[in-house]
Amino acid sequence: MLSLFSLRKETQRRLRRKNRVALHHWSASKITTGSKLIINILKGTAIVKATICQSSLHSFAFVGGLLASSQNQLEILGPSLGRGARPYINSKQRWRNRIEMEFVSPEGLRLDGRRPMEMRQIRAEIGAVAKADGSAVFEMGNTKVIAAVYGPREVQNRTQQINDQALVRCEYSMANFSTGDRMRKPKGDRRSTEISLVIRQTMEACILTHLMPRSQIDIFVQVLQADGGTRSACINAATLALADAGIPMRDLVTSCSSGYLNSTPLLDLNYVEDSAGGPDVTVGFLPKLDKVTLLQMDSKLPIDIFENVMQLAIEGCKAIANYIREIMLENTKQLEYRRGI
Amino acid sequence: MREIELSLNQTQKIRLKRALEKLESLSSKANSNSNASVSISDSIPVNLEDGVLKGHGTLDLNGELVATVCGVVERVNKLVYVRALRARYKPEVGDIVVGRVSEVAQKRWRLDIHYSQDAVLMLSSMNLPDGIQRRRTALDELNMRSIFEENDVICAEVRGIQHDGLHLQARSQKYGKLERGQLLTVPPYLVRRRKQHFHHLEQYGVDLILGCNGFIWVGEHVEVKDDMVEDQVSKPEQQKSNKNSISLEEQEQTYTPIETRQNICRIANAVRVLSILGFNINIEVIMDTMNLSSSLNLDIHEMLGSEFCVLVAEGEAERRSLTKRKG
Amino acid sequence: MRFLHFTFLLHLKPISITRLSLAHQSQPAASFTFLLNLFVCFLLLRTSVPLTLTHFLCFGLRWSVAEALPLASFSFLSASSGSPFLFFAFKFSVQFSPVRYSTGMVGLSPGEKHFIQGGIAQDIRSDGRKRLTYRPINVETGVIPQANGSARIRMGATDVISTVKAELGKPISLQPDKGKVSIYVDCSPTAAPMFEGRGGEELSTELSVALQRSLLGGKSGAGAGIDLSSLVVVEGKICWDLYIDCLVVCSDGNLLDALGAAIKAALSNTGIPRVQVAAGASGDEQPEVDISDEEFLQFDTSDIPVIVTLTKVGRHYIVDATTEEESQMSSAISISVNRKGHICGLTKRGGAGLDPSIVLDMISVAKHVSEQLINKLDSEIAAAEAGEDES
Repeated sequence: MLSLFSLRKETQRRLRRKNRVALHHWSASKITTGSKLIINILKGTAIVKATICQSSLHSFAFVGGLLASSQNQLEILGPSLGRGARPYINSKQRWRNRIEMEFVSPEGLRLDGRRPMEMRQIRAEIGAVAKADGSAVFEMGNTKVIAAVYGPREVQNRTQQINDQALVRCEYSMANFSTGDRMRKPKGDRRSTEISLVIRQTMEACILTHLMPRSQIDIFVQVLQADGGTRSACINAATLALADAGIPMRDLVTSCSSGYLNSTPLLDLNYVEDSAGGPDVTVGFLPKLDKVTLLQMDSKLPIDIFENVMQLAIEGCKAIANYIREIMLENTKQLEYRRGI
Repeated sequence: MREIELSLNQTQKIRLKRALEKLESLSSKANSNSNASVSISDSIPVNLEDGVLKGHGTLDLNGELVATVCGVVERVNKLVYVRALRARYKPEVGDIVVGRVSEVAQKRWRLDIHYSQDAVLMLSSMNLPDGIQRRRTALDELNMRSIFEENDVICAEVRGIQHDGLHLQARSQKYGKLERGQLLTVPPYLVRRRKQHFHHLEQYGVDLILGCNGFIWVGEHVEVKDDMVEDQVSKPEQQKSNKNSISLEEQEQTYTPIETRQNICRIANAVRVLSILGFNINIEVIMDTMNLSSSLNLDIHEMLGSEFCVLVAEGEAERRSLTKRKG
Repeated sequence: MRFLHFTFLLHLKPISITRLSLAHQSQPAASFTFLLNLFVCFLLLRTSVPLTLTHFLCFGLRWSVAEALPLASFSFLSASSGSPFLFFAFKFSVQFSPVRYSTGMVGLSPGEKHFIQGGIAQDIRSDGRKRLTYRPINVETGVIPQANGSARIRMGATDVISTVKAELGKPISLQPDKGKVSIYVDCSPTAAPMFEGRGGEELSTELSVALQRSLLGGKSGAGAGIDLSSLVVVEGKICWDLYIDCLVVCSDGNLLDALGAAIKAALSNTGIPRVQVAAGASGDEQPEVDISDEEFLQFDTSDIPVIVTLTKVGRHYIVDATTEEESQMSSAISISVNRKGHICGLTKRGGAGLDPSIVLDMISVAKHVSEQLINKLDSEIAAAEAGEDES
């Protein structure tokens, strides 16, 4: 029943870009394009060989989810293989790899080829859910989220009604297929609850809730693909969806993350960088008011470096705000001229 | 950007793009400087010394006027406000709205009219079936469900905002329950306030109500009866006895005549197409769209296909450029 | 086909009566029912023997003690008789359950309800469609690059995403020659506020089960729409596990058909790495495999069925019902039909009972409709794939 086909060039290129991984103990002389390597699958079902399709001095690209170890053998660290795979590091190795792995090459390039201060490509689209009052899709690199806003409308549960302001609710959910290794999580786990809360508080701070008393605003964010920075992407998508629903806001709120690896501040961490164990600073920012509304960091960081890292994240927020503003303005203009007089 | 949700082929894409560009150039000529689009947190240039009045969608931020919604800046004398486009309905006194009953409460009905809360229609602010002006008795209160039930579609007028929410009234024969037809919802900004929101399309036998709140009713024409007294008393009983006993055949006889139904669906689809394209919805444009579809001999359901949408967009561009030349 | 229906009906009646009485008597002990059924089966076989009977025998058995009876036993029965109705016997599993896939609280006034019913009776539905007309279908493939294959389908306001993920695994010992496929549906709260929290769970489960029934066949995997044996790498040792995850982004009726179509599109978009097995592994050892990074195998999706849901409103039935129309349904039958016109699964929903002759009538209509749908879907999928390669 199966028939053979070869991937088109473009698809191959995309795959390689996704699977670029830094290499520490290897030198370029050992790894060249086409060299076969032995790989262990963590699940222990089989040993496979992989082909390197692209290599440079400090990193190589391959098809499949594998990552370098210090030995002459490579280990596949994701249980999944093929197109859907993505490097995944378990907690023990995370510590080891943190020391060994190089996240910024001497030429100043990151694993996915970005500069330290460079953001992933962002893309936004207004209007993705036909039935919602407002909706938007926001993409940061491979991270992709949909946000839908329902309301302001009559409060569904009368006991929750607030007489002088609107009730803002938020739910964050992740699709089963959003992560590299597929998992089926129960709804409402602690992580989702926490992110829901974070998004709700951040959005509530900028919505002019007192203008819509005794009503309810529901924000639903759905992660379609997670590759680091889902929190930030969700906040950005929610901002766009709220604007699309015509809900008055004090200011735009945008969010971006930054980190610190190999003594370099990095903007907009992807999944591999995020799971490297370094600090991850997520900032929510009101650009017009010049105020930080959300700030989260895990892991430790000297205070003078923290300042730089946070500043970097703020710069990222500003860049996103500019982009979002342009999108919204363009959207408004289009709606206006289409409607006519 | 809110893309038009259609699956278009290459030529259709180009044609639609061209039509939209034409619309863009037409509108930019029409209002070159008077009103400008703003997005959230954009500052609105005003001369504060003149003593401007801050209207909806604006906020004073350290002496600077900024927008709180995406929309178009409008200036009326000293008043500066931002007119939001896609948003829930913003009621104004005297608006004609179509709503759905969400709850029958004490002496009032609550209606969903696409506003941030449910609107209230008091028993006292509507004409009773017997048509006599009198105090509402406890018996009237008990019989409220015989007038409007949950989920009924009702047409009414905005009376004003009071402490307990938005109030409606239905003090005329033209208001009241709407039956035998379908309710469409479009974004409220597409429906402009006009003198006339009730349309009886005689040639089609169709009633069309363009609610200011974006709820549009398309239904079979019903004669507004002045002799409400005898009519309403006898009717409910008839209906009730009917409901219990009618068989499927008898029910079929009461269905809307097929020609009328075709017209209703054609008009409804014209509204849907205009809503997809984001064009202003008024009676003339709806009729134009409907005539275009009939002249092309399209099946009713084909009106929702991409080809017809592109044709409507091109037609609209043509129409607007013509009216502009005249004006 | 007509003839077949006729015989089918004729034989169905006595058997279902026996089944009913048996089931009634032996409610407490499932094994007892099983034995009784076997006995009846045996008696009938001895007395009347005609080959045509075998099919409904199996039908009756499958129906009454579907859980208790291993499919293998009557697969043996039918196989030995070589009945031409073998197919029917296997794939016809009717489930009567009072399940309603309503996706939102559609409040409609009596006037609107009457209008919708009248439209269906007069063959002009609210949006001008005829009873058997679909809304325009929009297919997008490769929407989730992380997955092995993915597709997004939009029919009117209904919007669903389906993804396929392939992982190497071990086949279960009972079926060493088959891969594993699991289907999960998730209803995103973005589709409707009522799906918030655990609100969408019930619907998700219902849809998942209905899809499994339509596409994956019985528990043994026999008669599955997806060819499970093509997923085996080394028999009994290595196979591909396919995880099909669907997400409902926006719902406006007819979710099951849209999800079925999305799965079909996602599978056509799926590339599974070619696996080479190193020779020399013997015994219980896991063989070495070599996963290719350049060569991908693609599914032959031409045999994967589409699901056609016929929603019965009044005395007529319609395809591709919107939420409003679904709220008026008395009952609905979802039939999955493949290109050859074979029925691969069937689900009846809704409280009202249906006359068996109407069921058969609906099946033949669904078969007819499915041909058009398959062709339409195939061309849309091909267009989407071409579009993806371009960009």
